[in-house]
Amino acid sequence: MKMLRLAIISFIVFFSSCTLAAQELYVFNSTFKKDQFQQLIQELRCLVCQNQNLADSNAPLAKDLRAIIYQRIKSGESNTSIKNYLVSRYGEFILFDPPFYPLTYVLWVSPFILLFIILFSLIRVYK
Amino acid sequence: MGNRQTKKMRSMFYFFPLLLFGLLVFFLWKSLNNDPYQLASPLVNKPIVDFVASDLLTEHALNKKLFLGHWSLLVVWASWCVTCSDEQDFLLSLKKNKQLAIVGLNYRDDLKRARSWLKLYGNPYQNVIFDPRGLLAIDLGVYGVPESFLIDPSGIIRYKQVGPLTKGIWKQVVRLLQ
Repeated sequence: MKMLRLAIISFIVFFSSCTLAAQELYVFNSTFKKDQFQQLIQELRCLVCQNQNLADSNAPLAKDLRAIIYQRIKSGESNTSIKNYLVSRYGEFILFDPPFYPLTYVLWVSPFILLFIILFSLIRVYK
Repeated sequence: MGNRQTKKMRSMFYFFPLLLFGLLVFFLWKSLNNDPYQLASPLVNKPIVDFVASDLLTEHALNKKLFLGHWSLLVVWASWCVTCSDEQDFLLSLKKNKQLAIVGLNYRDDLKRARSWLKLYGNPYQNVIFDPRGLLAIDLGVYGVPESFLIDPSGIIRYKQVGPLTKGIWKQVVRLLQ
């Protein structure tokens, strides 16, 4: 029972960082970069709190990644370059959108196929 | 069309959605067992990044050469990580393996607390990389503690473990790489 309690407590403590957060104040010298930053951190997943993006997550890793992204945007790096940097270390799961290439064609296309099958069957039934 | 043929066509028509549904249930059921925190690392079969850091205990400078010339197990841990102590006994038992160098990566930790933690739980590490800001960890795609990397003698990452290491997992990994 003690182990269970300890496990539950450490679980809660660890994931308590997955709360909505007021962000650190990051200063940019252009609105373009400020917007780029805001947009980018919303497009990236927090790997600790996997339902949150980097903008909302309070997890230490999210804070660290925001700081790194801030530095890179400040030095003029593009979104693509920053995403590549993160994906090469964390894998594609850090992007919310699974990329579109042969391996993920099925993932992208299957909802539409399913939709057509359903529509088709409905039409057949009602004819 | 004969009566038998239309009957056959109709039963197939009813069977097909059932089959689709069955397939869907099968895949979703399978996925229920997937742990979303077990992410495949893109760094497997890539060389470990070069770095500069100091050793937690000796404060000597450490770099990538630490991993060359022999198999290494790089274990990411922290004194604030509760499950890290779970693998300590197993790591201490691995120390006997003369072919394997066990190196620690102390992640986002306080120097004093990290040192005391090792005194309390035992020190299986030949060296411990002190990474208080977690920058090296980010270069290694670390997102949780504990995590471990198995690195071959030419410095290539061959396997990444998310979560504590156990004898069972270790046996599987060794078999995988034989």
